[in-house]
Amino acid sequence: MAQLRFISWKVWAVQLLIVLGMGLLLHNSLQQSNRNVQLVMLTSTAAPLLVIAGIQTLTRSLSCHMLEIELSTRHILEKLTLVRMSLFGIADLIGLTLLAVIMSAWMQMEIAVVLLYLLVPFNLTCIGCLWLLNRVRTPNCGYYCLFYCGLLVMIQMILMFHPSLWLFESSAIGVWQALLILTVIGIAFEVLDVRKTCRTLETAFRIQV
Amino acid sequence: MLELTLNKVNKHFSTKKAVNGISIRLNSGVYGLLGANGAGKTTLMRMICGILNPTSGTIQMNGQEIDRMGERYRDLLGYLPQDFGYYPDFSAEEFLWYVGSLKGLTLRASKGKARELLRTVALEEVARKKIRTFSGGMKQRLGIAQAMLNDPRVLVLDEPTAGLDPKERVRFRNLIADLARDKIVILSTHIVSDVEYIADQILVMKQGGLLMTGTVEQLTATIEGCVWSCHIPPREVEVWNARYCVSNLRHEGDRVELRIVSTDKPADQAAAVPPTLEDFYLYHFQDEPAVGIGEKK
Repeated sequence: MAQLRFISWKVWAVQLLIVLGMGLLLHNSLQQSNRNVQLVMLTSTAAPLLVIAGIQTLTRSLSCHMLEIELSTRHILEKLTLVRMSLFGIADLIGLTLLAVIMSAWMQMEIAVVLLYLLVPFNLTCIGCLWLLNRVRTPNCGYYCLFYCGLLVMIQMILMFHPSLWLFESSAIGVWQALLILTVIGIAFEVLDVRKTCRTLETAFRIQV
Repeated sequence: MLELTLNKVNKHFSTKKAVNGISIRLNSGVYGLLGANGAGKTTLMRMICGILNPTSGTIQMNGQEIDRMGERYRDLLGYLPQDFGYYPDFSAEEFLWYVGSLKGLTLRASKGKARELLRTVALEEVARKKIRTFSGGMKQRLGIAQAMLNDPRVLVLDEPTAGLDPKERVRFRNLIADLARDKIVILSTHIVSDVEYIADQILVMKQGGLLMTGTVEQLTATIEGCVWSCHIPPREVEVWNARYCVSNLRHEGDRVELRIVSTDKPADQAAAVPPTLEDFYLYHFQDEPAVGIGEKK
């Protein structure tokens, strides 16, 4: 928990702004004749945005050339990265749950379904960023993650404008559930990889030995 | 009593042998690593810090492998890497608190130690300033401070004097001399005079191996009779420079005094002079890239 104080307050402020902004956007959109599915997709863009808010902090050991120091201290990079990821993960999940509660109340949708629509994009964002973090060990890693998150937001926006897709029909819930399980498994594998990556300098930089 | 033992330590990167079968026993004291670029100094230091694993061989602290000691070893360790950065949005004191937290210190302990170290490295007045506003020398001093936060028993400093002005270098040398009691201090530097002043023992590395170890006197004694002084006309300087390893050149009226490092006597009128560590370096590394005598590349 000591690491909390070393994450800039601006990061938390941006996350709060994303949640509040999405809530406000949702509230305004409810006044118009949008379909529920469109609003869900709109709100789900909060997932990659929340990840974007924390990604620079997660990758800054690389971008700020702090790896060597952080590998030589008592609590090494492996632990540090896991702590940072957990802090952001918890904060993001709180934000998404808050949005799900609001949506469920305003749109009379089942909270579990709303959470499903929010968590799958969130997990996909996390998998992509972790994949990049594990494989692109350069100071630019954070920018690649930003690009990936931007791509996801774009796809979500496209889906939002095509609400007739079968993906949002109640019969497709099983597909979403399967996606949720698969993405959770994917995250678990990538987290294990993060642990390996953050152990020594050669794994951290992927030096060929 | 501290004892850091390296036993046949090798490190290969792909086909390159960065460190080649180094065995040495280090006790309390200051050890200076001397060698040309690419000699394997940084790789060796990284292995001593446990952030690189040897391809073969072992590194032990008081008889226990450092890899197995894990946190217990890192608790004893302070490390200043050669190329390192900072989180630019941190102030100097926040940076030290942060490193303190990584070293397992409580915030209270970190704050106390940070204050003390910032005073030691003369950064007390800028403690609350953002690191991005610091000069190279100030950043280097902050790096030295972070390495000392946990009062380490093994202090590894890779190019600690890089970017420091002469006054800061003197201050640093005194600081190390002060700190070295009951510690193993291993430092590498390109600045031969720094090693000469600070180190009790010098470890000379060449092409990944340990070429020689000893005190300044012991090392320079090995090239006794290989350093010459002679006076020549200025027009011949170019020819002599091409033919011999000239470690110094000084104009004296209408003649030029050359200091030459050579196994053979370069001229009849040449007189043997006592060698310095710089001469020793040139003697062994004259074929290596021409950096390192007085400044960082």
